[in-house]
Amino acid sequence: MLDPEKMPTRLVAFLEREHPGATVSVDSYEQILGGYSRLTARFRTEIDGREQWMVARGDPPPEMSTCDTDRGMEWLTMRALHDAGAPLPRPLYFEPEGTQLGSVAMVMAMVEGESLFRLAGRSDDADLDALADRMVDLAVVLHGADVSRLNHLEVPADWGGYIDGCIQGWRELEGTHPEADPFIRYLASWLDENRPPPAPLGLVHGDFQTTNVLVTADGSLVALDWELTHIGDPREDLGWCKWNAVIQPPGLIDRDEAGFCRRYAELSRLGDDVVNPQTVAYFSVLSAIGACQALLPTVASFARGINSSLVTAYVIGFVSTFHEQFLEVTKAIEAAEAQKGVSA
Amino acid sequence: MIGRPSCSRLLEVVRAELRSTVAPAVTDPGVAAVLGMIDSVLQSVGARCDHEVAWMRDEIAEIEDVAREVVEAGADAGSRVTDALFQLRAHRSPSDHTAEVQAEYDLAGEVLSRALEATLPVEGALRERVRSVLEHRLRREVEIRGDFTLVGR
Repeated sequence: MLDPEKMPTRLVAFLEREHPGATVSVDSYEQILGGYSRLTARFRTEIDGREQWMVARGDPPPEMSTCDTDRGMEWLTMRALHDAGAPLPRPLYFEPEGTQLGSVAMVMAMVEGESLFRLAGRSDDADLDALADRMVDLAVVLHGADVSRLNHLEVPADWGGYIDGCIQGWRELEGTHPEADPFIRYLASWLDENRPPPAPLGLVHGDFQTTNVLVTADGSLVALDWELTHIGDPREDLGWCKWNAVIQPPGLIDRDEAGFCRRYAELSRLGDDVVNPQTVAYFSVLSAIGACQALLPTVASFARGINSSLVTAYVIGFVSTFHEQFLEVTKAIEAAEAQKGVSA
Repeated sequence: MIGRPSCSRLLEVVRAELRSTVAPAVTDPGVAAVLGMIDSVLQSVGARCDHEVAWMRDEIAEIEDVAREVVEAGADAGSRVTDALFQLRAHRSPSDHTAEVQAEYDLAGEVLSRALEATLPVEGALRERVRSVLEHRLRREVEIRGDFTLVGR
């Protein structure tokens, strides 16, 4: 997928194997910008005269990787959730070997629409409020998905054990990084000391942010990028959404955080003792584990000279933003707790 | 060697040229995004290059001071901070070469991590004192990073 000139020919051969005997053509191949982790491109195809636009999403070569995730797992997740009626692009084909398309890749139906991030960027206050409500509604739908179809995902035994695993994940990540990271060690201890009330475990998208949501012509929301999906605490997605507003304004959750949480608490029936600005803030830093587990190993490879991606060099700045958030969020929660103590 | 102009000054001029001459000629959004990333990386390198070793040495000293306070306050249960301090003092950088100072800085990072872990469960001035060292480290990181919003989105 790194060589756009060759891709139409490769795709024709690939689709002919998927549709034996069919007449296949591919044109208008064009890379899609915006995502940092995967190679993504749209193209037009005709299979026995039937026109369809598709999107190919593949792995960059290891030396150019910025995010270490498994395309096979993402494929299985998308298949199962699409079959269950979740709002996501229809997954069509998977190329597990990487021999036909030049990289391990999946092909999905293209969804016509605008990124929610871009739509939010040109919306006024009233429209932003409505979009925030829509984002809550999408989160509730995704989190309510039937996880029994997701046999390939690990199912934690209970909430406490799951949070233990996340915190241990932070410690292990720091332990394998080529230099000490006191921010991560601080965060792991802090998360352990300040656990919120538990919530039922369920589907977590894992990268729930406005850049990963498309708004279609009829106003429907469609969620993209399922590479970090897992079974966990649904507040992780709300927290990650909040976190991303810091680096990609305008945010939707931070406009009226209490209202955002209240709507989610009501629609999900989790209650406002479980979903509120403080618990979401807790998960804004806990949930960063997914991104850091994907990002930091590539930074380590970069430091060793194995990875040579400019994107990796660039997103090292992201690591400092993580550190900044770890301290800001933990101190803000402590201040809010202290204030509650004074009020009581 | 030629020491002047400084490395940061050279990078400043390269960045200015990229912005004034190269960027206006770029019409491909993908290439423009790459240029934005290059500028961000050059900005960080420019912020680090003239001070890196001195900043690490300053922070190592600061970490040693606060770790000693933790030990003297009797907050080092299990002697984990003491052990890390011993390792730090036993493996001082023999030179000012960046890689060797980085190795010492890495050991100091472990000392700070253990000091944070030791004091986090205990509310009070010592916890805030140790956390202030982490905050100092963060201020440096943010200075190096500069403004950061994702390009190309």
